[in-house]
Amino acid sequence: MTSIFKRKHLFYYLAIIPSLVIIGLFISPLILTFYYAFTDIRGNITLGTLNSVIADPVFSASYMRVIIYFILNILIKFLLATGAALCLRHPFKGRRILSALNFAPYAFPMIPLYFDWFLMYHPSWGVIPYMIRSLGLTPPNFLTDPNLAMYFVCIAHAWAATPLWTMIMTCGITSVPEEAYESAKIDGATPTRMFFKITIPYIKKYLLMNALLSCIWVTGEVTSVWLMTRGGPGTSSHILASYAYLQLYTGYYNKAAAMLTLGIPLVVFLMFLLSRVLAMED
Amino acid sequence: MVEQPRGIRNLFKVENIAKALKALYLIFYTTFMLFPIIWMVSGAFKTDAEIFSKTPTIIPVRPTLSNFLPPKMPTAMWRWLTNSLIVSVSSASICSLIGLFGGYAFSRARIKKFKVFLNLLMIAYIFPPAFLIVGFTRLVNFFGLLDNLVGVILVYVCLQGPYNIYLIYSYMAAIPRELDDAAEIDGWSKTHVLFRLILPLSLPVIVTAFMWTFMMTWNELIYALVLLNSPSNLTMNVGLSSLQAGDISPYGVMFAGATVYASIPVVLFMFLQKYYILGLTRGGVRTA
Repeated sequence: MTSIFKRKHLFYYLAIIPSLVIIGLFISPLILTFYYAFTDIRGNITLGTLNSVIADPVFSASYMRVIIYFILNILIKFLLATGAALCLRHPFKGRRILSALNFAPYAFPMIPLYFDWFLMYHPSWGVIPYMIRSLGLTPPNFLTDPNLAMYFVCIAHAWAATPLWTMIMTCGITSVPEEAYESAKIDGATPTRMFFKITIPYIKKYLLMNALLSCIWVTGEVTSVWLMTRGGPGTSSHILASYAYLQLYTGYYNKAAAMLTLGIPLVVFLMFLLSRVLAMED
Repeated sequence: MVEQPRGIRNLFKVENIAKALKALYLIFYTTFMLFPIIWMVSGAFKTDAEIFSKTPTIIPVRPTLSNFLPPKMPTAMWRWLTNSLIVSVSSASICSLIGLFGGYAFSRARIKKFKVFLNLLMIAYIFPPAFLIVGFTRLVNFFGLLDNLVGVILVYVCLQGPYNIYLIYSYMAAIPRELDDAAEIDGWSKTHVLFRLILPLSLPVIVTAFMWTFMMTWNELIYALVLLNSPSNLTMNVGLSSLQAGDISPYGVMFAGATVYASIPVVLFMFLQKYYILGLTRGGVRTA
């Protein structure tokens, strides 16, 4: 090649340009978001947009729902995955096939599956109300009851990520050295106690990491809410990002920017916690 | 261990009850995991009468292909599928290419300043994309790329690029530098080293990055929904969601479209699986 590439670092600098462009293009929308949050629709600099958003009761309700979404989401995933991991711990015939099959929801694209959940919940021809009816019970109005809709959206959302958690829990539980269990058994520990005193501390870091990551991503969750309820009925199942997204979708991008700006402290806080967890010793 | 006596009384022993409970739980869990997928695929082969019947069936009583064919399936569906393929394949290719160069430079250059960027890349990967949507929409609007697939591709490259670079970097960092040094002593230029030596060695991770980006962009809805408008420009996600209109939606067609849509990455994954798994285990990088 020409002499220009023989200079020590030049090729590296050239090769890194696209990456820097990407980083720059990633940061600039963030700055733009702040800019729009502090302007009104005509471009005048004002605090009015932020104030109107803070005064909006739907926004604060959506913000609070994010916390419910966090807790419910982690709880569902953790319980389902722990159960499955405990059942899959000891080898048996067909274990590998079962694990592979149960990974399917994570490998499938999620958008068609949200439609699918929407239809399964449907009050007149959905399969879930049908199953409940055939047990002789009255099914709730899954996605049309303002008090319940968001919980059922959350179940569908958690369902999609459960396989990943199951995989992590299975890896974690099988990686605990067998000697630890054996010596605890000799000391007369019950299985429940061993689970909480040996297994959980052993995989604590990975559990916390995944819990925080799923919280961070739930803060920015739009798709599940949008496809299953559009935030409805009314505004009862909106969460932070989906409500901001609705504003953008209807053209109020200043309002959307203000809402997202108010959400960023939560994301930054969660990211800070994540960095502390990542710095933890294994 | 003492040999356990066999008999009917054993049925009620603690171990057997535990085993039965485990089996029951696994049945419940597997049903919960797989039922929605089975439901979607079977719905694609049902007639409208069967989908809207009061007693749902798991296996279609009268299987039909009519949901996949015109006149029921709108011809725009194939257009949307093509658009989705164009968007996903091009953004995945661009991302892998950028990742190849970026990963090489980050892993090979002994330049202290670069470390800062690595952390930025990781933060960019974790940051939820929904928080950038206002900024990106305005940027795309500013460049006049609204309702244009190019705009969507550029946004997707920006969103997925950071993780691609990081993934490829961490794999390349594990390739011994002595190989580079040996090649350079033999008089190879850095471009030769990259394309003749590092690229073949890191092919598994490039394929992994490609698959990852393909899946992420294939799954993306919210950006495409605000960036694309005209019916001929929609990606499959947006197209399917535009069919959704309350109780009068053509659900059979939506199931059929969703099944086709969902099966494409699965087919792609099956073809590239060999490389994909190699990339994950050898790169030592978590994937989600």
